Amino acid sequence: MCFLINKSFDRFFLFALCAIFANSLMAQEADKLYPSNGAAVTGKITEMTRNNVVMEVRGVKENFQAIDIQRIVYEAEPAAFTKAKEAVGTEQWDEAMDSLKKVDLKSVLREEPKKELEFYVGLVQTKLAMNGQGDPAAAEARLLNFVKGNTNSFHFFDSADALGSLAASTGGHDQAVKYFSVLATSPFPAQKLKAQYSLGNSNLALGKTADARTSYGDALAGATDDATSKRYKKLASIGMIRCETAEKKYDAAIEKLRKLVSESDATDNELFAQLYNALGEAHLRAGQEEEAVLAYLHTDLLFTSDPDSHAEALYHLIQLFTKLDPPRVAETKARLQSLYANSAWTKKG
Amino acid sequence: MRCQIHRFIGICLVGMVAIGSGSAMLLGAEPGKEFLERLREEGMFDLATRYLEIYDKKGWLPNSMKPDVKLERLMIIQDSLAAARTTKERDSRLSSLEAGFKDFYDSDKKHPRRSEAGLRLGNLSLDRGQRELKKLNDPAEKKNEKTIREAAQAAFKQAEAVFKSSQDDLAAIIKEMSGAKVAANDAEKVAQRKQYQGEYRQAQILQGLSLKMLATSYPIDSAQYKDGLKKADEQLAAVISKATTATEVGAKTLSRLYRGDVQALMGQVEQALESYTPVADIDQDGIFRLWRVQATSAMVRLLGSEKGGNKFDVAIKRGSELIKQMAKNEQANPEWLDLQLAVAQARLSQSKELEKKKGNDTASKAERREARELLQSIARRPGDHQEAAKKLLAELGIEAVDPAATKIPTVKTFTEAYTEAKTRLERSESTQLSREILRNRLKEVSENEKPAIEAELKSVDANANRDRDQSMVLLQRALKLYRAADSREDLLSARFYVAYLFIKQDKFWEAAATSDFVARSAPGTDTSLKACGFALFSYRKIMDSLPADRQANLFNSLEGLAKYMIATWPEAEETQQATLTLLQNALKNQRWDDAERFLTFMPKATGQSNATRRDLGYVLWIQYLISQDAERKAGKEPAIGDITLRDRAERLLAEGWESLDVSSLDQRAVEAAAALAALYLRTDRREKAEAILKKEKIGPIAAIDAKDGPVKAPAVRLEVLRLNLQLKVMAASTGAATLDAKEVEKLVKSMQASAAGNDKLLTNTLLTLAKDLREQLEQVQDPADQAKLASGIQVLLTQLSEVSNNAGILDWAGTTMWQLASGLESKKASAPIAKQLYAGAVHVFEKMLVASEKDKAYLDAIQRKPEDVLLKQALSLRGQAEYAKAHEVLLKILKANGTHLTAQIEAAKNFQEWSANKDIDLLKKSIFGSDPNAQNKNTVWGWGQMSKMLSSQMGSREELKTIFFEARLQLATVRRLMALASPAGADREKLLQQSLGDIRQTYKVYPDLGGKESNQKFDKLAKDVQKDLNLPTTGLEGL
Repeated sequence: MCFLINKSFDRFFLFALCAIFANSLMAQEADKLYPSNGAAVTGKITEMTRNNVVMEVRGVKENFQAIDIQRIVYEAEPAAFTKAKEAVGTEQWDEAMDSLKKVDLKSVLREEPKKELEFYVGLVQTKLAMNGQGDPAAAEARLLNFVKGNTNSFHFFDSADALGSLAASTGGHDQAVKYFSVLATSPFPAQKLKAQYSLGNSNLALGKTADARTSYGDALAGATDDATSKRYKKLASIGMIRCETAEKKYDAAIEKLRKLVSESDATDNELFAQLYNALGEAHLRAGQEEEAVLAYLHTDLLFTSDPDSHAEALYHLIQLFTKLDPPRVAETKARLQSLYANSAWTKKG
Repeated sequence: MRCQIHRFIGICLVGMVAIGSGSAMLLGAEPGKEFLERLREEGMFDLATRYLEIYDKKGWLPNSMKPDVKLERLMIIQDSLAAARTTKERDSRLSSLEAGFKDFYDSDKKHPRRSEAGLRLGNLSLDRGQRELKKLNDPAEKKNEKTIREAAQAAFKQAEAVFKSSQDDLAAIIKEMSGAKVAANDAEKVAQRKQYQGEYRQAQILQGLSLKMLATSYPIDSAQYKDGLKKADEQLAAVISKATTATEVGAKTLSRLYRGDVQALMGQVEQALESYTPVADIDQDGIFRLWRVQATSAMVRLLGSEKGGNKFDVAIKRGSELIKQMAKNEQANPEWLDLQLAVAQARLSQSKELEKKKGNDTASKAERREARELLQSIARRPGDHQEAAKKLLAELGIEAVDPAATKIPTVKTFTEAYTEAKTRLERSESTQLSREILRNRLKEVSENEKPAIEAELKSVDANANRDRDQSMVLLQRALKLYRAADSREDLLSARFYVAYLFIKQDKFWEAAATSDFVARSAPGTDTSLKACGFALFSYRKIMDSLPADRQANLFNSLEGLAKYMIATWPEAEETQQATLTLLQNALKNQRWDDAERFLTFMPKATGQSNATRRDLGYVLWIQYLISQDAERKAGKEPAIGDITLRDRAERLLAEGWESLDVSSLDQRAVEAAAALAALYLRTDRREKAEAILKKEKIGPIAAIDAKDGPVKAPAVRLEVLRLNLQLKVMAASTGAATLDAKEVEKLVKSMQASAAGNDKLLTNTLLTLAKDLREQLEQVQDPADQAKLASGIQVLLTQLSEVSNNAGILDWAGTTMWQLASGLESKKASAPIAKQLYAGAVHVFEKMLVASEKDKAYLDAIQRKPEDVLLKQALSLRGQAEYAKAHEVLLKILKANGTHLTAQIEAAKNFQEWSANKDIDLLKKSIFGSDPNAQNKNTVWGWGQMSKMLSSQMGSREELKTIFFEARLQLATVRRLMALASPAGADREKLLQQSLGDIRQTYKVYPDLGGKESNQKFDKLAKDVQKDLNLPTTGLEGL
């Protein structure tokens, strides 16, 4: 009996080992592509451009548009790298950096993941810098270095987007215009729209209201009507109203923004942050300081997920509190400095 | 002990609502509720109120919120009560709140949130009743006991009625919404029904609480007390039995807690413990944790009571176990502090119990030590527990020193060293309390007992010093033992404590270096800010002890620290202190550029910044005045640097003035505003000065006129009045206004009243006015304008002398008129005014002389003698060309005091001027004197006799030498004048030769002729006489 038990146990153990070994072998043999929607696809990456990736799946070549790819896990890539990519997918930038630091470069044998590692390190550094951690110039240099050497990477437009956002957040709007102009060459409507909207923002920040209007107008005229496009169109319409504020049409701007508030989805944190910041700006310029405080406070207390918008609101609150409520200045300033050390708004204050 | 009843009720409500409802952001609308909730959470009650007002007015609130604005506003005010700074403010808000809720509750019976308002109203009534009962703790209120109890009972009855009524209303609403009447998929209605059900339970519980409170407002042996408690018990028992669903755990738990309290009051110990136990056993966060702490405190007290069987062990165990779980951020929480007090009380009782039995000394001491530690820990924190804790500590006396504690323990890790150091530091800090207790005991005990207590005090100090020393040693060991795995936060704290201990040891260099380092190691943290405070304090101490030339490096360090603080905590008081220190140092060393630079460090548009800028402006203005005075005394024109200083002062003072409002108006602000007005007056900008002085509410004149106004110092009041007077004179002189005599009189009387008998102050103020007016006069270039201004001054002074008998004022007025006239008489356009001024002066001096005749002490206040006044009168008469009268006055002086040298000189000069250089008899009198006395000696000496007298007496006395040479010069001058007034011929030549002889004789005996200036005069006269004699004009050289 005892022998039987042992024998059957040994057999079971052997079977389990084989299964594990087989799985392991399969993992080593295949790349895995995770689309933004749908199940992961396993195969071999055979081609890559800035617009698409071709994967051979069981002998058949399948084409994936770059914008639809959430991430690619290369065969035999280090587990820490895979973990970092997952963290990037959920925008856990600190966690992503921790994982990237653990990647042993010697263990990355293939050329593709080696290049991709450069992208991820640059991207995560960029995002961290936008959140006030690390040196923005170093992050920009790193990501730019990747782009220059990998113009055919499917991360090309994502890099342009990240570089533009970083430049805008640190006040380098001229530079941001250059990066977003590259993004605007994307064949994908969602990226194009984002680029047009972002170009509008940068031009507005540069005081080029006419150029900003053109960019926002381009975004609003976009043909696509999916959820993402609709969102960017709404953001662009906020931008358009900000142009009216810049042209001193305060009452009209406020009325339009209030209408947008009543029509929009308050769960869209970034959209509402933009809306209330635009309201704050219009009230402020119209000399309605209390209303401006309340508008910026909406962003500060309810809609904080977009670092740039939050930093903008904090900056204006500091200015307004200095005049209206000095005891609140120190705490607000401390938050701006500790949350967004690299932001242009922090440097401005 | 349930001492935190108000807070408790508040927490209860919040907790219950939180349990019963959630919130979600609405789609397509202003997120009003969420925003309001966040504003409340952040304590931004003022902004929450403004939000409702503004958004309601503009129609921006979501429709769902519009009917609730009034209620929400009341709720915000209620939430803001904790932020009220004074009891008075809180009570006032409470009264208006109760009225507001009552109004809402009574006026809108259909409002869906009426029940919520009812709960708030009931709570406020409960709170009011509780506050009334609390008054009974004050022995002074004993006489009002009946009234207080009645007021409390009325409040509790009102609360009970509101809670009862709310239940009736809610029962009807819930019935209408019961079961299938609300569709299961109608989420909003379902949520509303749930909300009403929660409120219904709250109303039930709070009615029970009201009944309990009402019962306790009656004497303990009364029927109302017993009946009330019974009703409360029944009410709460009913809730416990009915609250059976999972969502009603909160209601059930709170009812148990309250029921336990009621049962304890009824003496039902077992039942009370049964009620408390499930509450004390709940292990959940949030409100449940607080209820747990309260239930545990109640259990500890109950178990440790006689009725509870004096089960100290059980009580201590239950309480101590929970205390071990206390988080750092809970340490200052009233409920936790109360629990520690309860456990300390139980430990003390246990200690006493142990003492009764033999062989338990050690255990008894251990209990006492534990109790002492708990009490020392909580007695440092403010709250209702504090008094009881201090009392118990006083009863305990001071802890005997444990010999083992005098040794420094062996430590092997950073954490060990840090923990031991911290224990010692905290112990040394707690000795303040021990000292307080001992000092109180010293006041109470007999003389015999005092030495022992004094020795105890010394021992406390010695222990504290030892603990601090050991703490320092251990902290330094900790820093050496630090490894990467240790807590960085503790490392920072360790350095912070080191800095603190350095300060305690007066090692300020070390303290400055360490705290500066800590400050920059953790920017934005509380520790860092405190470290900045330490560094600042240390730098100041070092600066005080260093000579100015060795402060430069220190100054750089302090500037660096200040800049860092400005960048990190721009509004913190410590930052402003750092900047002020820099500023003060720069001002002290007259580094004006640095001072202005440091001013830019201060946050703009804050009260402190504005005040500092203004004060710097004031300091610069004073500096300018001093400098200008020195220049004038040296006979120089104001330097460019002075003008720059003045311009800078003006800019800063103007900035301070522009930012001034009623709330920031204080005496310093008034002084600064007056300085700015003075500056404008000096620079001929009368309108601007007037605008400042007369500005409504905040102008200096309004400030000194205001009842209970900010200006208390007589000097400031006088300065403002002086400027007002000066302004009036200048306005009158330009024809902009007439100088109203009554107004001047009123002003002068105000000045006298403000001086409050300080004649010196009054006189100095008036002298400043005279000086300013004279300077003003000097600045006016156009003779006609000069005459106008002089006329204005003359009117002022004349009117002043008319309305006043004050010796100081009259002397000032007369002297000013005389001095101004002296300056003006040579100018043609001003000559008539000069005459008037002289006449005015004569009149004023006469008034003084008459007064001094009547009151011999009249001139004492200004330290003058009648002859001083007579002399000025004589000079004024001479200015008027009333030589005979002037001679009479001078004679009066000389008859009383023949050796009055000034009078002798002026008498000789008077003859000289009287003669108009033509009347030989008068010129002779100028030389030979006049008015022989009874001894046939001339009362007036004349220049000749004067010079003889002086030559024999002057010796080395410089002042007499000067007069001697002047007399000799005048002697020769007058002889020449006599010659020139004589017909040509031998007599004339003889006189000229005599004149030359006077010069020669003086020159031969005194070749320097009294100095360069005098020498030049003699030389010129010699040349003139030589020319008259047709001799070569060789001057002194040819003699």
